[in-house]
Amino acid sequence: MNVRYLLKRTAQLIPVLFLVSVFSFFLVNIAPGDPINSYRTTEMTEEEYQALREEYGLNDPIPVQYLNWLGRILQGNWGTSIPNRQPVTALILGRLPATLGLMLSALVFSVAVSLILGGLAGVKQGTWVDKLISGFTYVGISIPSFWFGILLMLLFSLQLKLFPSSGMQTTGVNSFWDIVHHAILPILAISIGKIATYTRYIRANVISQMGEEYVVTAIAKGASAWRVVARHLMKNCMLPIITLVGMGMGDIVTGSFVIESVFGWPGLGTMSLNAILARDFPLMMGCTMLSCIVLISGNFIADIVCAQADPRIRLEGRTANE
Amino acid sequence: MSEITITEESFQPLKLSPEEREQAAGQGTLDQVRRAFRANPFAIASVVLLILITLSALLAPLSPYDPDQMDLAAKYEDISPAHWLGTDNYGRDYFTRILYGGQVSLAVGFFSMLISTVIGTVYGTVSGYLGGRADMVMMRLVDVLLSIPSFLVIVMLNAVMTTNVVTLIFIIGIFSWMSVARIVRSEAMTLKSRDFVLASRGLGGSSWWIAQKHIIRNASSQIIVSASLSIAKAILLESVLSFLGFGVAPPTSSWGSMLQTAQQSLLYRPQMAIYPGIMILLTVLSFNIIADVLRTALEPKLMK
Repeated sequence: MNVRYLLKRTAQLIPVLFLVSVFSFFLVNIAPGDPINSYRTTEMTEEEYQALREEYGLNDPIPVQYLNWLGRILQGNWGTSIPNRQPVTALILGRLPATLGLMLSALVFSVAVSLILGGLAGVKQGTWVDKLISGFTYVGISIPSFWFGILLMLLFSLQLKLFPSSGMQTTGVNSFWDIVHHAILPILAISIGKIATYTRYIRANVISQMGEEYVVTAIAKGASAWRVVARHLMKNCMLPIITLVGMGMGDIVTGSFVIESVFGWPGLGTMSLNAILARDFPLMMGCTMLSCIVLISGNFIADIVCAQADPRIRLEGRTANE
Repeated sequence: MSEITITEESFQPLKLSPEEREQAAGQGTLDQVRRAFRANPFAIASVVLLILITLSALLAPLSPYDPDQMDLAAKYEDISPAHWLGTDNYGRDYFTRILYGGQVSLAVGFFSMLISTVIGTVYGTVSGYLGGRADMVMMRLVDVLLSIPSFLVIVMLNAVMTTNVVTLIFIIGIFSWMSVARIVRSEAMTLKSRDFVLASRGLGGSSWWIAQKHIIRNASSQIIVSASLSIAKAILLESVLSFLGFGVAPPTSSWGSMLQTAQQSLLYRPQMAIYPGIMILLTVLSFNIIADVLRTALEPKLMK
């Protein structure tokens, strides 16, 4: 990997971010309704109201507002939320750990489970094990994750009372295990679709690798089936997994949206949702830009890691670019 | 080098004897698809199921109940011959509401698929056919669009606009054509350098002619597969949006918005959360299975 390739890829990100910011800024601002008006109390005088509009720059034409916003963003100032007058960055940072923790656990869990399921289905191709796992993957990609979450909640919280049905912590309890206890059902709900998708890729990959000469050689040299799978096949399954995980990075903000709202998880998803409902422009923009940045960098990192892991991609990239 | 003589005869359709005709039958694409479906009981079940679901949604007006007519005296009724799935929190017949909800979910799935498939096909064909700089610019735009957190933008759009079924269809369609465009574009790239396309060009075929007669027609199996996948995706997306309250506005309901109401009565009436979810699952599952069967049936032909 040369520095030029890296720089070039980084430079390609800028127009994307710019276009997304323009698009979402105008989208947010053509929305009917005055964001300040919703928070106008009866005690607020006309002067105070006008002062507030001025403070948020709402009297300027939209392109001017955009440029001002862009200038502030570039200086690291993401603005203040309208209803509670707190800095957007503080609000986002406050919610980030909850979402990040949930999504990363779900990601690790999904990858681990699908390596096992995909490996098993691929090695036992055509047997009932494979058919069972493939059947599960069909259901997994077709089931709405939020409905699966509701089912989990019905069964495990309302019927069996094994897990809490909502929130992240029991009030008054401040322990790590309490959070884990709250997180298990949401993690399962987020993971089902991911597990199904990853399992399919890994299964297909294992099957295609099984015919490769290096696998045949390893078997001929007396390596056990599990050694072949663990040492040889899985290594080669990492590329599609890296790509898939990278592509799924955008979910870190938006993918948990619906699951967070099912389980009342106090993360970025519920916050963005409320920001949209409350027409809280600065916060909406902040959440959109953050998810865009995460999505783009996820793809970007996946590309780089893949190129680093597989020399063929690196070389191909070079011949294509130079 | 052998000489090929071109006479008027060369341009006549092949004359086949009845035996030859018999032999040729069963080799076409449609026959392959038919055979693949017959061989797979799940595929047949999916087709039957989808036909049943679509028909019952279309025949919803035959139900004696008005889906939106509230009757608070009759709320939370159990399953009975009068109310096949009981009644909901406003005393509305749940079975009737599921049928009407199906109309919305299926319509959104089908029409947004049409929009995304048409845009994606045209865009992909043009990009792949033109190639070079134009292709580069067009595909970079696709990359940009794919980097937009589309879910968030769709939610924002739905929040700022007064949404109804039509706007929902357009919004979902407009944000999901990119993968179709990529598929069609790579097909167009390989097809345009094939001999029969060059021959057509040599015989004076216009770009428009080549695009529609050769490229789109030959990419059609890929397009059909991705179309049935995109119906599945659109139905899922609609259900999420409606569940979050950004889909169709009440009292119109879709399966997703029914789940939203159901979650509020989860403690009293867990069944209410079960039925619409099963409908979404079965519908999406069927489309996914059909897409897979189509893909395996059509792919050997593409490999040749």
